Amino acid sequence: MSVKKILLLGAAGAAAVSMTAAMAGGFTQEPGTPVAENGYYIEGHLGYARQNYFDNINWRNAGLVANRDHNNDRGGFAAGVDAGYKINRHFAVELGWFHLPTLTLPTAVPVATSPASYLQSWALYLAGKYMMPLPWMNSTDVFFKLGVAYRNACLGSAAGSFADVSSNKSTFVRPMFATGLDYSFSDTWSGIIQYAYFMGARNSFPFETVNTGALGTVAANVFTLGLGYKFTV
Amino acid sequence: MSVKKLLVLSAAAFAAMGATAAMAGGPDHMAMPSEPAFQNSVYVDGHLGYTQSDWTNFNSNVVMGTSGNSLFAPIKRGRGGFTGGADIGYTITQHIAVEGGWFYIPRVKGAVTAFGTADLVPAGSIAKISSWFAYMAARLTVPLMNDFDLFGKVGVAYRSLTMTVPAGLAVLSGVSNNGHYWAPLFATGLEYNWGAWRLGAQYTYLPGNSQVNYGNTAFGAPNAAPEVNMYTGFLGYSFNV
Repeated sequence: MSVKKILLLGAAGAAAVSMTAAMAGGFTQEPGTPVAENGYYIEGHLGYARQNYFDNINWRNAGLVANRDHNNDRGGFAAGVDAGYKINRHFAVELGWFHLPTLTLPTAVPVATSPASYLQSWALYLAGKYMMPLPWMNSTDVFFKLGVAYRNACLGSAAGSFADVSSNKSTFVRPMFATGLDYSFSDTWSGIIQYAYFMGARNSFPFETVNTGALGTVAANVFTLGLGYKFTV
Repeated sequence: MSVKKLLVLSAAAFAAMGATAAMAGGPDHMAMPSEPAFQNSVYVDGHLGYTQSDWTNFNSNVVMGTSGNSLFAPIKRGRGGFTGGADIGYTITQHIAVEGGWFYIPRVKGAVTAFGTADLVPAGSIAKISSWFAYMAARLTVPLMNDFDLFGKVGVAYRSLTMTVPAGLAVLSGVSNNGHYWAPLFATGLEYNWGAWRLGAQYTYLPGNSQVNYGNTAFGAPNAAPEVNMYTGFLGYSFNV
């Protein structure tokens, strides 16, 4: 595991640990803050993820994108779930998973009509969450998440052969963040609007020819609507 | 990294949370010790350190990068080098601040490759790419222990790239010398507060860019560049306002 991965995971772990200091009385309670609302919660999300493979020079030069209709090379359907622990009014730690859009890819020339192969991808993340009530909107919080994501991308073997890459699977760890609004319908149910950002990686799917780099994976900008449920302790 | 490792690390983080809760006597809301009233402040930090940026294995720029498909391959600072920068911020609450900053990214120098000479770049030619970035970010601070804080930053960065290449290269038709891109920026670190002085260490991550240049689709240049991993130490000062 590289130093960078250790630092990223260390930061997330430290964030989780430091947030728990709030439970031990290590935080200052801000004036006017309501009674802490600790407890576990789960959330589900559905929406659209923008992934711009269309404009990526490596994917384009390999002939994999910008040549088929409805192939999701600019983005597509995304969905996710997460579970977390709300430590107090402002802080939570959260573990989540997102399905990212599947690309339909060519496997031979002519690329527009060749049999399809696919790029499938998902992301798992651990993040710290900071929540702040909106003073001008009742029962609504703006939230902000910062953490690390483990991303998995698998390229269909036929598409991999067509692009001349030496590996059809890529996994990597990168920073992630999310922000959005959380509206509480009741003490337990809430509606969520969220934007989440998951990084890509330059070195995914190396080309077979030496010293020519890799195909890479691109970042995912995930826009979702969600529903949350908080368990009463 | 395997899923197993990630799950183990996640479990460790949650275990730490549980342990702390036990020390605190459970998750019930507790009376907090009184602390001094919060005072808004403006702070400035100066940074010095090392930037890791792997031009040697970057294949999207095509002017500078992997030797098998770029005109020039790095011969100096191809994987990183010295860096420096500064930031200035304003604390809105005890936990939240807004911040702007600027950082220098090491200038990479490259020699012409066989791929380049095949595209009629004169043998012995040299190219250089200079770069910097400026950013605006939100800064979230959480106390770790006495006078030590842990912080995270998320924002948006503008990265500037300037290429210096031999004049008159026909292969670079449609590729200008000045490029740029926008990207999110992440940072995290630890700081020690000694009165108004601040001393700390920071890790900063700026994503790279691999978008095609529609002026000449053989290139990602001038806007394409590899990601930046920056490790800096900083010294700062806070002014109450």
